[in-house]
Amino acid sequence: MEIVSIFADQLTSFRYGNDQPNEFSRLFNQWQDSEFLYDFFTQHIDDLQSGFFGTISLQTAIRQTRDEARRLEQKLLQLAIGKPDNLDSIFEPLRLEEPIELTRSKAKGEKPKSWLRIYAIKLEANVYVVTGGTIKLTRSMQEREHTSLELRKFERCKAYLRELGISDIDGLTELIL
Amino acid sequence: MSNLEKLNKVLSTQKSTWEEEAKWREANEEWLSQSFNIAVRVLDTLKAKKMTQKDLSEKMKVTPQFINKVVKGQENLSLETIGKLSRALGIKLIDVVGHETSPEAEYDFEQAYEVSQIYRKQIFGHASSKGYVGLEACQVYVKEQKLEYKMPA
Repeated sequence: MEIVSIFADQLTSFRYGNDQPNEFSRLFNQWQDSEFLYDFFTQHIDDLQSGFFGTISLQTAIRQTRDEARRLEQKLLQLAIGKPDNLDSIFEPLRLEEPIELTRSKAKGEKPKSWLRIYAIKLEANVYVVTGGTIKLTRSMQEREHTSLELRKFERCKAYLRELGISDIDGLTELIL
Repeated sequence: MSNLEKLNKVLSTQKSTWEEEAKWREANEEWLSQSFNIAVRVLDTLKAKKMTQKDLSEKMKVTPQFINKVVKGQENLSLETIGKLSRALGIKLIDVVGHETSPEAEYDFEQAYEVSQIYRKQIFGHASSKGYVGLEACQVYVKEQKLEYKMPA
């Protein structure tokens, strides 16, 4: 387990094993990998079509995920190149449960938020370490194993940082497009 | 010592290559996007025809590793390879703008799935909402009813 720099030493990411990519890179590779997305949405087809995000076909979900991942990557690339001091503007405190307003805003015809999530611990202003991320299709994180896993990773990372003498940190934050 | 200073002391000497990869993806977006769409179509067809990637590789006389690259949407496919894929799967994978397609080509699996989302209740009543249930029936229904369905953008 180690921490690698993503850009400007302000955005960093955990890497959980020597033979694994860091979490930040893993996410952008998976979210643009058609086979991974096909398998993921096939496995979670019930959540996808539960109505929380409306009724979306497998194929639309796959393409939408790639499009959103690309937009998110572009946004981060712009920050990496020009304004790394703006990280605070894109991360927000983690909500364990999505607000009901998500459904309400959909009813009003507004574009719902993305299901892509990047989770990170804020160490100080504009300094973050990514602990993981996922595709969140349900209202709460505890509902599904793959989202619960992200909470367990956060606890593990927090303990690791404490061992390094890095304490006084904020809770988990999330980046949503 | 600040958290940032403490962090810098323990940072791995190996920096992430994400920035270079992201720039590469941006520069190659045109063909990556096409490759991704073809990959989804191939995966759909493999599933519908109950074929494995290995089956496809044998039919095309290529390695399973190559097919795996194709279905990940990361392979810069030549027209020749797309042609071989089309023939092996019995589907049309690319279309040129302005080219007239046969009525059959318009009712492909993907389109039929989208249609099934809309007409499922009318057609099947209590049928399961999962996956590809009744795709063929949907295609027949759409043809019989002469429905025109435009794929969402």
